[in-house]
Amino acid sequence: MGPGYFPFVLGGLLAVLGLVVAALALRRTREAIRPWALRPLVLVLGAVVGFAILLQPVGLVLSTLILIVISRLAGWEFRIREVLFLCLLLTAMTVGLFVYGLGLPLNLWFRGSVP
Amino acid sequence: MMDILNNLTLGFGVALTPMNLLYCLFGVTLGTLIGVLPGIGPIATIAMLLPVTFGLPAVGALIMLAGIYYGAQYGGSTTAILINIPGEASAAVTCLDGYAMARQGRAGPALAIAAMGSFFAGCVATIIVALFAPPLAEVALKFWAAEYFSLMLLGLVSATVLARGSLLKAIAMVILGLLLGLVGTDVTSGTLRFTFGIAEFSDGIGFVAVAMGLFGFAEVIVNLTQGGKREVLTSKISGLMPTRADLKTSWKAVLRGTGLGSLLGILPGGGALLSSFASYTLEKRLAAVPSRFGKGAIEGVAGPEAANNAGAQTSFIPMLTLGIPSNAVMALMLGAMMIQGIAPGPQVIDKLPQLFWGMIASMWMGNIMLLVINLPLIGIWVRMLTMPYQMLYPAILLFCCIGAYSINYSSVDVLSTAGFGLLGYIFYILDCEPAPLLLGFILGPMMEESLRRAMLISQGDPTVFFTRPISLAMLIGAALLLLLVIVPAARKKREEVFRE
Amino acid sequence: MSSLLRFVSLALMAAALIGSPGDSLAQSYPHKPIHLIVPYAPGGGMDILARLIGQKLHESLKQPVIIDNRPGAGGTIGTGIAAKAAPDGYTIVMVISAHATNPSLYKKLPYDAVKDFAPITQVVSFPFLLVVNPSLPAKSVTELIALAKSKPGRLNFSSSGTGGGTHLSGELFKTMAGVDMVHVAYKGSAPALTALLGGEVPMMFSDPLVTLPQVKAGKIRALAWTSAKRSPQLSEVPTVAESGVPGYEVNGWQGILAPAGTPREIIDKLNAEILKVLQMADVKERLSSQAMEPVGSSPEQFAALIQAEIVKWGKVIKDCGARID
Repeated sequence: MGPGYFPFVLGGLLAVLGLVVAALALRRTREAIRPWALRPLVLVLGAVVGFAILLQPVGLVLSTLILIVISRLAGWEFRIREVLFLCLLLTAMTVGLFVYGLGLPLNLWFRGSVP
Repeated sequence: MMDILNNLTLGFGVALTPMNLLYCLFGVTLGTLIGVLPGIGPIATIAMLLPVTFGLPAVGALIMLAGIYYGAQYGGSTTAILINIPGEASAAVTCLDGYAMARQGRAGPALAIAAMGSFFAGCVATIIVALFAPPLAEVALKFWAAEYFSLMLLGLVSATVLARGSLLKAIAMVILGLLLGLVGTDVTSGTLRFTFGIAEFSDGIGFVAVAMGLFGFAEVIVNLTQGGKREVLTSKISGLMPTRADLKTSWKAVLRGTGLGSLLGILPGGGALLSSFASYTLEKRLAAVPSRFGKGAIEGVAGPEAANNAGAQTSFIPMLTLGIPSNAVMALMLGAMMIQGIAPGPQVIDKLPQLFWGMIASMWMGNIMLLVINLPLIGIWVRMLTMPYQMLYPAILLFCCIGAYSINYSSVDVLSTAGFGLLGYIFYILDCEPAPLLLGFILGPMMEESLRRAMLISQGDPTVFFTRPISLAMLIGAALLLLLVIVPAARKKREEVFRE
Repeated sequence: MSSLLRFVSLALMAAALIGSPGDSLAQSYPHKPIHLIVPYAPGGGMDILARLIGQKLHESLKQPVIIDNRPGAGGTIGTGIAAKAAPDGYTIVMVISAHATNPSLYKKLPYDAVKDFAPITQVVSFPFLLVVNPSLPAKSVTELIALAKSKPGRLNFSSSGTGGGTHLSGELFKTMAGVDMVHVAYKGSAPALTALLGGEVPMMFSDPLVTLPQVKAGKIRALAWTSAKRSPQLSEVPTVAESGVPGYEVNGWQGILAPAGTPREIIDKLNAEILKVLQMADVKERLSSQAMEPVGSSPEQFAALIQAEIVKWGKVIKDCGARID
């Protein structure tokens, strides 16, 4: 029973289940799946991915700002004053809480020599 | 009996000194804060505090670190209830009914019952630790690979009980969770599985990434898709405290949860985590109207919260009696002991009784402090919910991202969380529940590891699962549970067919 | 002043600046905090040692030594980060004997264990302790070998991870003693110890940090040390070499490396400072209570050790077929 055994069995079971579900679906009355909403999905996840990629090279402050702005774009109303307020408040909170309060090793600005 | 009283007197004498009380207070407060922040857990915090413990007296340092640990359990349920993000792994089950209650304006009672249930469980579990620590540790040692496998199997079968909707889909989600749990290095052979060359995956996908992504990020996206029309965290708050009816429904759940958690917590490795899932399953099975679960059944909060707090206390047993850490947090505390120059092991109870009993007494103090701290905070949390969602969700995303990053200071964890957010959204569209997947994700690797190890040790003899009594008992339990689940489902399906 | 004089004074200033850069570099180092990367999770034995050394260095160098835990992938993630760091002496990494075994275990590493690093010093050396559960009817290594030969393939030994020191010590023992034992891997020393205490697996080549307290409490029996000399922690316990397997020697070690290209003066300075730390009485006492022996070798000796270990364990790994890929 090597390392490939379990994944193979599980994959097989899943495939069988998928076939069963598909077969049952052909017989039953149709049930629509919920509609996709691409805009919030792409913007929210894009903001998070952006944060992840930019955090180390560009620093906490800028990544936070980018995250807030992009994720707010996914909201239903983009009010400039609200967004600015959020940017200021949240940046201050995260820097204060995580870097100075808890001492997490996050670089605030552009990266120095330490990876 | 006299012995116990003497020891307890010694313990309280140690725990009630002003300095130790202060350490305890600091620890539980910090722990609550850490538990509330999604992603940042006691591991990161204790690791950061390790240098500080160099200078503190041994008992004080350990009291503080322990306070952080079980304080985080209290805090973790707060975010689970308020924003559907489990601040701690064991709070994942609390999301199911806790968040549903919050959406109905009942966040206050949910938070309160979580705190009260946790307090009760913490007190009882502390008594159990005080009275039965050494014999319970011996029981834990009797759990060999075969027993772990049977326990995990029992847990997995109970995952089908977790399912709200289609049984087939729930089973598929469990299997998918099992597969995701297999990502990483295979213990027995050293082979890397499903890592796609990414070194950060060689120790598996982080639980935090999966839970935060599936539950948290997906929820944020779903809320945004409905453009404010969804009654997110409704502004009509109906009372902060649980009603009499709530208490009547929950007290038995709390008792059962405490029992389950206390027992499962002693098993090193995942015992405490399993206990909250087990409690939820038990409550759903025993409820008169199981369909209430998932829609705001208060027992679904009371039981698991009691279970995970009881488990958190009893998981100290292997560490204090044998010097074996049950999880990564305990390992850190052992490290703190070593920094102090104490060699953790079986002799700690005898050679340093003030350490053992002092810690037990301060666990009790800590639970009291946590109740006192958390109950008034409920008002503040609930008021925070009334903030407009558009102001709230960027903060949620930000804290989650930083939390995910802080696990290993690696962006891969944040990216994984985003990936699971996408997956969570897909599940929402397809009407699949993430809870069974989470359970499969946790149990899968442990189950497979135990299965292969049991076979290896027994030289390939599969009857070992049936010849060892504890294992046999759990396998029978799993089979019974399976029947209990399948038979009504099959009967229901037959009725459906008849109706058609 | 005259242009000649100005030229001469400029030239003298330039000469002063260019001349003896080494002294001024070593004197000004460190002028900011040093990052000590620990490629393992916080709280473990190697992390504790790193923190101890870091703390003492902070006191002597007057600059903080920040412990940077970068766990994962058997230590290769953190080591890889250190390999790519700037060789200015402000990033160093503590490694354990896995540094010498990883090149043979992994098909592809993000660094070259020898070429990408400039060794500073070997900090400690420690033996492994062969322990058995009291239920095993073997009171010495010779009895153990006899028992193993009487039931080939049926005697199990546990380890804290495939490819780790606890595993490879056992594999070397199998080859040198000519016995056939079965390796049962666990994820970490805690579950391995639990299995040993509970009797699930009867023996282990263990990390003494973890098992010494258990032996002293009488929960498990120590059969032998894997080092060449007995450890003073349990001086009545013989070494494997003295009890039937001559030539057997396994030592775990921990050392500090800097990225390749770090200036020699900085390496020498760090080496000297660490040696001083290792001679402090409280440090020596703490180390010996964990069966660790301070070493404090020179960079060349450490480099030679790493090379020798890579060769030695490369052969063992190839023979037993362990790999992480």
